[in-house]
Amino acid sequence: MSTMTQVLNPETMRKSGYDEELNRYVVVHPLDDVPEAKVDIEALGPMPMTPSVKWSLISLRGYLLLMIALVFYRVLGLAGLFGGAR
Amino acid sequence: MTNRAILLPADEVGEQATPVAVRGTVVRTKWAHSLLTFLAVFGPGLIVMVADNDAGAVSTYTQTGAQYGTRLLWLILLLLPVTYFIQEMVVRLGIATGQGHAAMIYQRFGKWWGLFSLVDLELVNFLTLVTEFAAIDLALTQLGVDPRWGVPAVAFGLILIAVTGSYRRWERSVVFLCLLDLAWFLIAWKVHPAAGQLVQSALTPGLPAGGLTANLVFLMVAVVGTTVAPWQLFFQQSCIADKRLRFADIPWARLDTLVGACITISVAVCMLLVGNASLAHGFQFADPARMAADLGTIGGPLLKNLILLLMINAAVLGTSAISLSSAWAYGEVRRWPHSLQLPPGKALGFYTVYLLSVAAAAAIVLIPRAPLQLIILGVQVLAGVMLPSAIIFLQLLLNDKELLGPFANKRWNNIINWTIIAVLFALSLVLAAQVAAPNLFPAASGAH
Repeated sequence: MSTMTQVLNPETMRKSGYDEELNRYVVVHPLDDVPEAKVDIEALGPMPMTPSVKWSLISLRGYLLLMIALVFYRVLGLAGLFGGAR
Repeated sequence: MTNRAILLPADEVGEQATPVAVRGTVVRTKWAHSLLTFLAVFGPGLIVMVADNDAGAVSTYTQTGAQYGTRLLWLILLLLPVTYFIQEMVVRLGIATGQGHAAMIYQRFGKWWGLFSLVDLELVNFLTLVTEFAAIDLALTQLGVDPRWGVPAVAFGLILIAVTGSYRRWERSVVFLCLLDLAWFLIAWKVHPAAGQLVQSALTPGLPAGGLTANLVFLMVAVVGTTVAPWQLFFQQSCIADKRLRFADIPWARLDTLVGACITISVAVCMLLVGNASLAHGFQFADPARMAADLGTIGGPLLKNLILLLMINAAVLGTSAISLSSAWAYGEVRRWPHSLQLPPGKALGFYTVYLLSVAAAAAIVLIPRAPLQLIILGVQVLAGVMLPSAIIFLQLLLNDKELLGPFANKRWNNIINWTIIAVLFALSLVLAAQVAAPNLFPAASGAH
């Protein structure tokens, strides 16, 4: 294992891992690589939602809460917590 | 091929780039470069898929085979594209944003929706963890090991593999456990499935003799629910973020996910075949551990012990992935340091959530006379009910062009994904109807 000191062409290296000057490929593990710049989500803020999307999500939440309650009621019933389990 | 430290300028610093040393492997050929890049990226896709074949999955697939033979094989095969397309969306979202799913919902939908998603996830995850340890308890008992010692020992091992402060060490350990899962192929070969019957069941979708019964509806929903679970969305995205996958890795991460999906569905088929063998020999199915003991009377103790050990392996894989999805999600939302790359001292909250998830689930299983079968039933139903809701958030995020730009869903992605969501919703409604009105479908078993 040897250490190189010259700077490689970052454009070609990042896209294909191919270093044209030295005619070779370099594989860098993601954890060893320089962190990439990603989307700045904080700067984007919350997603703009149309009223229909908002109400659909609220309905979905209501349905989910009802279903969770129903499932718990049924399971607790089966466990005999309400006395008359099926 | 040599390992070298090379110098690359950091992206963020642009023209004022200061070279930063990174370690890379130098190869001369393109195919070697492709292979090594794939191996470097490989992991999250395989782990999320194979860990999905957890204890609940072993129970569900073997029970399906033990009650209906290979008649529902087509359903399992149909779930291959479903599970791939859903997790492929997670790959794009994780790589494009570099953040976990819980953080994404919090930041793009606001705290209210974020909190709901987190509570849903933590609740169903914790209950699923209880079922994993319940399976470990059952398997250890059949193996003749006292669960009072065995269960804490497994929990301790699970904590050890996560707290090493190295993502790579954790990933290698878990990938090794994933590869052990391939032993299901050996068992399937050992129980001699009939090739003609298999081909017929795979190519001709239909219901078993006896038609649509309550038991069949429950099993079909359970098969779907166990193959595509809410925790998978959170786990793979956080795992990708922790591994710091890059934009250039997207094709390889997709391949990783596809390989994982193919393996998990193939292993699911093997489990179905083991259940089918139990049915063919006239055994009554109670649970997978009991089934292993029954099959052991025909195939010998090696077969029995192998099934039991694979059952424990499945539960260990499931526990590791589910606990981590809980810990990552909680850490992301609380903005705590949350990486397997960090030693416990530097990510105390993250590791504490992981530790508490594992320890509490293990402790509940050790409570004498805990209604384990009932907990398993409730968890399957809950996961099936929550899945469509979780996928809708994913679908909305994947159509967020402001967030994903060129990585947002295309029209054909949306057609496929909304179809999947519609089918999952329909199944969840069928399940809801069955929960609300247990006598809706005939109670008679449709076993052939």
